Amino acid sequence: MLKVDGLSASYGDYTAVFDARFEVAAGETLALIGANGAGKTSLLHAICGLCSAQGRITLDGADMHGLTAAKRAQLGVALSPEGRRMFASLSVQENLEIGANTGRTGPWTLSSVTKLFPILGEFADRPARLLSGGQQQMVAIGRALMANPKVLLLDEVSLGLAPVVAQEVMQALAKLRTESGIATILVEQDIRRAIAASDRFLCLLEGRVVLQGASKGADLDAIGRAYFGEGTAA
Amino acid sequence: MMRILLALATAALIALPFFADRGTMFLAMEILVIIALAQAWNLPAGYGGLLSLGHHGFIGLGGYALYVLSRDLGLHVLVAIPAAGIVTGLLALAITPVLFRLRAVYFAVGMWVVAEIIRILVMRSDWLGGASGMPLAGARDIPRAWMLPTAYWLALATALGATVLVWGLMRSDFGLRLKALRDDEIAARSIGVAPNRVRLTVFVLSAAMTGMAGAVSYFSALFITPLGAFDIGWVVIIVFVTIIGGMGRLSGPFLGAALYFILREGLADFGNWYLIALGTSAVLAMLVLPGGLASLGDRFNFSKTKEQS
Repeated sequence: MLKVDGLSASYGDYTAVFDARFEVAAGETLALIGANGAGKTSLLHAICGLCSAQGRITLDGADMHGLTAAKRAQLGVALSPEGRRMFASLSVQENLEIGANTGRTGPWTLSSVTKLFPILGEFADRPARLLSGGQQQMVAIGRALMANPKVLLLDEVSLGLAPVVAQEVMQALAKLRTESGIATILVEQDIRRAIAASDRFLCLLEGRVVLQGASKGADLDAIGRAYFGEGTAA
Repeated sequence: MMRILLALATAALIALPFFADRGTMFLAMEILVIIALAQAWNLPAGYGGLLSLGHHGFIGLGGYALYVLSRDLGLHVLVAIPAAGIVTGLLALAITPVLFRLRAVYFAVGMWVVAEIIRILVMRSDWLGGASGMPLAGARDIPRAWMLPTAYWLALATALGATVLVWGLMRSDFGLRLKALRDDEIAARSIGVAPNRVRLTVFVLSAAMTGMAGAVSYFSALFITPLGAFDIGWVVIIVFVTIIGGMGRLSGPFLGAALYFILREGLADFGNWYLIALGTSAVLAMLVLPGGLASLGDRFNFSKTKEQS
């Protein structure tokens, strides 16, 4: 479904990701693991057209090179951004509704999203800025789902959430994973959580892919070493 | 109930020329023009986060467009005034390829520079009467006794039209996209909002409304000069009225205009003291009431935040 080949992402003169290559199939979840500044967010931004990139990104065989973020969104790339990025002055319902801005149709509607996150139905009329961090995260994921994406990019969904709240969000994602045919890329700092929620993983260090493999039976210690760049440099 | 009150207020405003004296009419017209200008400025600035300090350029363009359309094409003033708005919108569209490369405060100042450039070009143009300006050729299109009422009704129509347009836009999907873009551009782009298309639309609409309000204002003046039409003082009033009233709120321009004219008329006997009062109230509002007068309701009533947009 999504194929990335020789992808580099840069902001002006600064290159954040070097020569990444991987594929994500429909219904599959890929975990991006790495420390702060490893290039995870830049990689997602390069895929959805929010930063400049070299290399090939194809969605269902169609090259997305040079397309604007708006065009890619129409093709079915949706992002739940780091820091949740609510539309602070809009209500919860408006935040969700505008997610359908691209006009893509499919199983995700206001009612199916509020079924996944019931609390959002309850707080539909509240300004999004008054929600807790966990609820805002649900809005951010729901907003991305409203676009009925083929590829769902989830950036740091558990960052800054209390463990029990993070658990709740991850449970919803697990449900999503089994029920939908969306290709998902999940950025997550907690290695154990990332492995549990994915089919395959990819570990980034200073902008380069240093380790990748199947999540099932993955060696957490090896990932930990790759994460910090110990012993894998060779 | 609300609707009946609005309808009654509108009817009273329409009937005003039949019982008010000339002084009241002039003041009412000025208030309506300021409301229209503030609504037009609020659309990109308050709802879209696109601040301009050069809207006086559009006021002047609208005014001059009316005078030129009336003199050179012989258009009837009632046709030329809306046409002046359209001309201003098209000229605004023409400068966007350069201006939209600028962001935030650079855009605000860039607009100011554009307005200055237009003023200087107009002052050097003999065709436009140079620095001494020109009279309105179409002044005889309307019988003399009907001039002031006509100008007043045009101002009323412009103010109400601008308000209804902003109201309608903000209830549409387009309004949602505009506000999303203001709140968080990255998130908005990631869900497929095309930033420049949305900004361009509100900018051109705003310029057209501003141009039409400028044309109405200079229709009643019967004479236009570059120093008056391209005076930065216009923008100072518009920004004051909108910020004090409430950025990004439909009622903001009305409340801000009310405060502005109460201060100005109330302190008319004390010379320029009203300027000091305006400055003080602007600083106070920013410190105590950053959402403007329109946000006063929110403080006492939580559910009101729904109305905020």
